[in-house]
Amino acid sequence: MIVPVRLAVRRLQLELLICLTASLLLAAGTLFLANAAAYTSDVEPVPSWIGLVLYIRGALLCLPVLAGVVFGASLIAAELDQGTSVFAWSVALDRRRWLADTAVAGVLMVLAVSVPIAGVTWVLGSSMGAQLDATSSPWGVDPSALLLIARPIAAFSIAALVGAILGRSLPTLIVAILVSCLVLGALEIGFSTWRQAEAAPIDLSTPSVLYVGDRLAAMDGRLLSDQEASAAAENGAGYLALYQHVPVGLTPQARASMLACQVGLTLVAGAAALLIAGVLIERRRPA
Amino acid sequence: MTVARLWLRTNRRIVAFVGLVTIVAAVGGLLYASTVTCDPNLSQAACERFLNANPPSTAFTGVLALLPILFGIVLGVGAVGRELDDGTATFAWSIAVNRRSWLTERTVQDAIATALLGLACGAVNAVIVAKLNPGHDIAASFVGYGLWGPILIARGLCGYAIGLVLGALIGRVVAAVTLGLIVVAIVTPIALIVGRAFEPATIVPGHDRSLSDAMVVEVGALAPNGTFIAEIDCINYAPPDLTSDERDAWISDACPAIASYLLGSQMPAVEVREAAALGIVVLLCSGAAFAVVANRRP
Repeated sequence: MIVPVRLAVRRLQLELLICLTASLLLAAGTLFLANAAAYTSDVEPVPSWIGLVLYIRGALLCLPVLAGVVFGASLIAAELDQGTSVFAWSVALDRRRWLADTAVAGVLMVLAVSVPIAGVTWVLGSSMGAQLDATSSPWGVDPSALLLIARPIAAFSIAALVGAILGRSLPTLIVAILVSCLVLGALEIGFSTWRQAEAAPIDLSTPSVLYVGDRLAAMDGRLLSDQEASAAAENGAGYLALYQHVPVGLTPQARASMLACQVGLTLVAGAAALLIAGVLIERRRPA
Repeated sequence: MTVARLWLRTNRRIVAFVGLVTIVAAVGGLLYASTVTCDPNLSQAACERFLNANPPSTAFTGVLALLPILFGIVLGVGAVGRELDDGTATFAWSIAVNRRSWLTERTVQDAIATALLGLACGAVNAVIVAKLNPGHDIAASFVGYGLWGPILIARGLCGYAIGLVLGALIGRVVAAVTLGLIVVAIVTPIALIVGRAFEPATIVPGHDRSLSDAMVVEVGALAPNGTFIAEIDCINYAPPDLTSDERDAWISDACPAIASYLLGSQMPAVEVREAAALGIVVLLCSGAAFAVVANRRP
């Protein structure tokens, strides 16, 4: 297995170099920005560069997924596109084994790109806090380190499946970006809804809590239902004398169990895509 | 007509895909913007936030704003990079009058297509943003800035030029598209910063929520000498011998919060300057692509 994996990595050394460089630069830039944000957060100024924080958060989520799609499209679709798959299959033990070797190489490259970014997110979430912490994220997407690794693996598998269907590298890249966004977005929306439903009052100073949003609560701490909150809001600004806005989210335990579910489901989606790709490749004509 | 038909035939897959996504996003966005309403209990500010920041609004307008850039990168890489990747560049150059005219023919058609897509997406997004922001004159407002209007044409062409030069340099389609996406993700915010960097900001005491058409540049404090400084720097002016309470009282008295804004009326100037910055990138990248193609070994 080592030789085919090494050959696959060598074939994609340019793509790997591009994604790895971007990943390391982004990780270093994030740490630098987090330090600067931590310095300024004590006194609440909004420097002109603070808009970069949201941008960086988006990049932390998008780059690993992009890398997964690129490796998936380059390993499977490019081989079919250039017509080298016939030779590759002829020297492999069988096509299933060839796909397994290729998938291992792809997953290793995806890990090489996503682990530095996941590491930075983990470090920021656990110790550095500040304005760039991992307790909130753009679009309500959970930025947990494990998900930053699981999502690109699923994206890689989806790109492999799209590549096995289309057999052309560039269309595969574009369609796989769209399909990955749809699949991962659907998973995220589902879990985001679950997080909203499970959200309870939290102490934001507690490490590893996941902040979901603010909810209206009675002065005794009881959260109001949506109907009660709407009825309270009808009283205008005076309702604040009776109720309070409290931060709600997931406790570390609830977050961990939900995270395990999401990571598991994301990886299952990726494994299913890879299995279907295997079936398609096995039945594909060599031409 | 024949040239356009040939171009369409060569790029039929990408045109069909992008056309389909554009139509779905445009129809979905227009329908959503026409039907969405605020909860009557929400305040005006909360209603504006809801209309602009909820997932369907951002998804439709975001897709339409990104499509011209993605289309430009893919076409740009395809113009030279695909020929090099497939090994057909040698033949194509051998039957052309010269490489420069060969590249000019390709880039003109691709650039027109990218500009047309940017125009269409910019026009549809202008309608969506206007519907989501009733009461705002979006032509003189930073509401939805960067999502609509002619800036999408400039961004699409910038993506095309970057894809063109990277395709010519790297000669591998997937790698060039990947690098193109990363480079565009860096260049676009830089152009945004350049666009607003030279525009004089208006300093207003406190956070004036009524300036909803304006763009906040910086929030800070008014120093005792009347200059705009960061709040932390103003605190350093505090006399050192104060108690904690006296220090808090001194800060609230001597360091009133102020903010600098770009007013909505300055939006066209900011957009023109951002487009000019992107135009410089287009010229540099296109020139580099022509030089690479002219000097590349067959």
